[in-house]
Amino acid sequence: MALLAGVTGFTPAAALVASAARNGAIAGRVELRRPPSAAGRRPGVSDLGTPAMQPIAERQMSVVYLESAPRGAFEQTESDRAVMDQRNETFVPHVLAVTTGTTVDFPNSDRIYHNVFSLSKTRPFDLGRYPVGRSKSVRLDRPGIVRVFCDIHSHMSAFILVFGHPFFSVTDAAGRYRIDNVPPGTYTLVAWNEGVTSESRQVSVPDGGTAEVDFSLK
Amino acid sequence: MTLLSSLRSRIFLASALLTVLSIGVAIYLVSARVRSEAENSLQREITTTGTLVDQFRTSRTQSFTQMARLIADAPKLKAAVDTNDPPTVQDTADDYQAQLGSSVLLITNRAGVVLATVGASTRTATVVAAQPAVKSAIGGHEAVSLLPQPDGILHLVTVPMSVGLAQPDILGTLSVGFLLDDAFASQLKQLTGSDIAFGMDGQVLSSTLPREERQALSGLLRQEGAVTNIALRGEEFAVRPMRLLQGDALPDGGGPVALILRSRTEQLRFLNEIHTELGVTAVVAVLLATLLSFAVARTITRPLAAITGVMRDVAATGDLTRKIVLRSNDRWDDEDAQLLAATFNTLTDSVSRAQREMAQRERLSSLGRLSTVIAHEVRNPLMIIKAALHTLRKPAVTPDDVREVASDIDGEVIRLNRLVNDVLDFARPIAFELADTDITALCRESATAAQATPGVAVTVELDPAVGSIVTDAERLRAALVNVIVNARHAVEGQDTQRVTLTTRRENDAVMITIADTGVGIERANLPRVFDPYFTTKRGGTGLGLPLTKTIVDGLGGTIAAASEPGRGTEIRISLPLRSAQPLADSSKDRSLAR
Repeated sequence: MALLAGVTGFTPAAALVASAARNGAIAGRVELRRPPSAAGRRPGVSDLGTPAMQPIAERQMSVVYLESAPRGAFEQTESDRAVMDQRNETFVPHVLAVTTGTTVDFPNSDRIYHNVFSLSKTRPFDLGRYPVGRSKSVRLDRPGIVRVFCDIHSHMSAFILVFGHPFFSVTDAAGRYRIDNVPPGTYTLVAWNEGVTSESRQVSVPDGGTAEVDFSLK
Repeated sequence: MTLLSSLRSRIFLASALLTVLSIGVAIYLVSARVRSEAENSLQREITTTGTLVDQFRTSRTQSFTQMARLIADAPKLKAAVDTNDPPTVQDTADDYQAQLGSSVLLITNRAGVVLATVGASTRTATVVAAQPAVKSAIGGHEAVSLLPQPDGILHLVTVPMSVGLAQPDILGTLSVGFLLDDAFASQLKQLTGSDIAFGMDGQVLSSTLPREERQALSGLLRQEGAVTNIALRGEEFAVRPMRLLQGDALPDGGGPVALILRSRTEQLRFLNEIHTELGVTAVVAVLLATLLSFAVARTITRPLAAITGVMRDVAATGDLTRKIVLRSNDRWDDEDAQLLAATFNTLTDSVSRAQREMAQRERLSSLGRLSTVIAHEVRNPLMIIKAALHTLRKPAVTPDDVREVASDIDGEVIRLNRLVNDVLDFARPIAFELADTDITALCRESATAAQATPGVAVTVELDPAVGSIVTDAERLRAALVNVIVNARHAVEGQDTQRVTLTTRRENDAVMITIADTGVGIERANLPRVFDPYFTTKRGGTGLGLPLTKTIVDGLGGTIAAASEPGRGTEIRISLPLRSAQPLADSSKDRSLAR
């Protein structure tokens, strides 16, 4: 899991950021050229229950983030809250990107029990079974990827990407992203989709301007 | 072929041969039929076993596949695999393997790197992970693979582990496998009764047969489909190789193969029992046929033997009154044989009747000849008497003449009287008066009586061992005198004149021999000396010897003549020590007929 190994480090470039400069932005598009999963819809135990169709669009959700954050990024860390809902035997959203220290709520908006758990090294947890209307939460203090499963419904899974800085963005349905408020400088930018990371790309954020970087993920 | 010359042997041999032949053919047919049936059933059983093995393996594969799917769908395992952290995965894998009871459980991540193995060595794990099946599972398809292991063939089912429904995200693969080992083969053997062996790449890895037989079986692994034979442990097995992977598994036939073995020896063991039973049946049947044919043959040969016996008796004794007596109530005797016996009886009856008629005719013709003899013998004295009377009628008759004439007449009357007596003696049926008679004394008396007239003296040599026998003394004496007188006549005028009477005891008989050194009998005349009216003497009636023979025959004895012309004659009379009741009339008839 070397995915975010560089997040905590400082790059020489980032150290040269002038505090007086106006922050710029990075925007672009992540194109998924990965072929759809070869595995067809295979019969599973979940077929016995209500067929819950996971919106394919959610699978298209990618995350673009700075591999190395500019100085001072961690100072912005605060106790934030995020929500990962459970509806129709699906985690919504499928991909959630948060900063460290964020407490993620897992409300059960379904009509059945769920049991959210994760075995990820970043933050293993098991919330146990809980019924409709209840909500349980997990505070994520370490950067990394937390893949979340439901112990009752084997087809349910979601990703929570935890960053030590706020310079990340989740793409929209069309694959577009935008990272705002980035101090001008040169950074390494990475795109991620469903456990696959792209090659890192060098990007220079101009003072008050927007750098355009497009990714193509295989 | 003396063996086949008797009817009994022929019948016996024919029926025995028929029995053996029919049973032999039956055995052959039954054996051929049973053998082909056994062969067919062997083939059927092998095919059935093949199907069963296939079904059993398929169902096990299916159940393992389903279990693999279930395990692969377990969220805990998915979450563990997603961590890509071997220790995390290993713990979960251990749990599942314990519940599943599979031989091997192996988990790889989506890159095909082994995350956890249970029940397999590191080397095996590497081999398994390199299988196309793993690649195929990463591609989302379940696959089956078969791997050679030291103790059997590892039958692996590899399923993808994925999460999500519409477009599942492949997390990794799960392989579970069971070993086609000796235990599995034994299980199949219990199910099918056939021996099973599993092998791969020309090497037998597991089987129900002892380990040392594997080498012999290895050669069969590369053969395709056909049933072949192999000898193992002194038994003959029919073997059919069956490929475990269909399609283009391995072109050189080195793929995994199940050998199905069925002992032909065991299959045909019951055939030997049938053979034994048939053999016993055959022996019993041959024995029965022998007895039966012997019995059947006897129904013919027994009457034939009886018939033959009587025929032999008749031929020996000439007694035509002997009859073949067959037990008329014996319905088993052959009809033809009975008919033969009846016909023979009828034949002897008619021959006997013809003999009687011939005797009658003979008697009539004898009478005719007698008449001639008598006429001649009577006429001569009559002529002499007439001449004498003529002399007496002469006017001048002297007393001397009268005396001479009276003497002539007297002589002729005596001669006529004797003639009449002879004829009467011969013609009259003889009534024997049997009594104990001292033969020695009787012989002396006879010799003395025969010497009443002048002539040669009779030499008497009597055996003291000859005692008394039951016979008619008067008749026997007459017979002996007759013979002795004949003998004395025969020696008259010869150079050597000797008549001898000898008695001798011989077994159950008394032999009386009268021998002379007389003229003898012409060879041509010898057979006729006992015929009535046959005579070579002038003035003989030809009744002397026939009468003698009639008497001896009547007393149950025999008389025979031997002679050499010019040297002498010998008459032998044999009398039984115990005379049978003489059959006067019939014996006389018979003697007259001869």
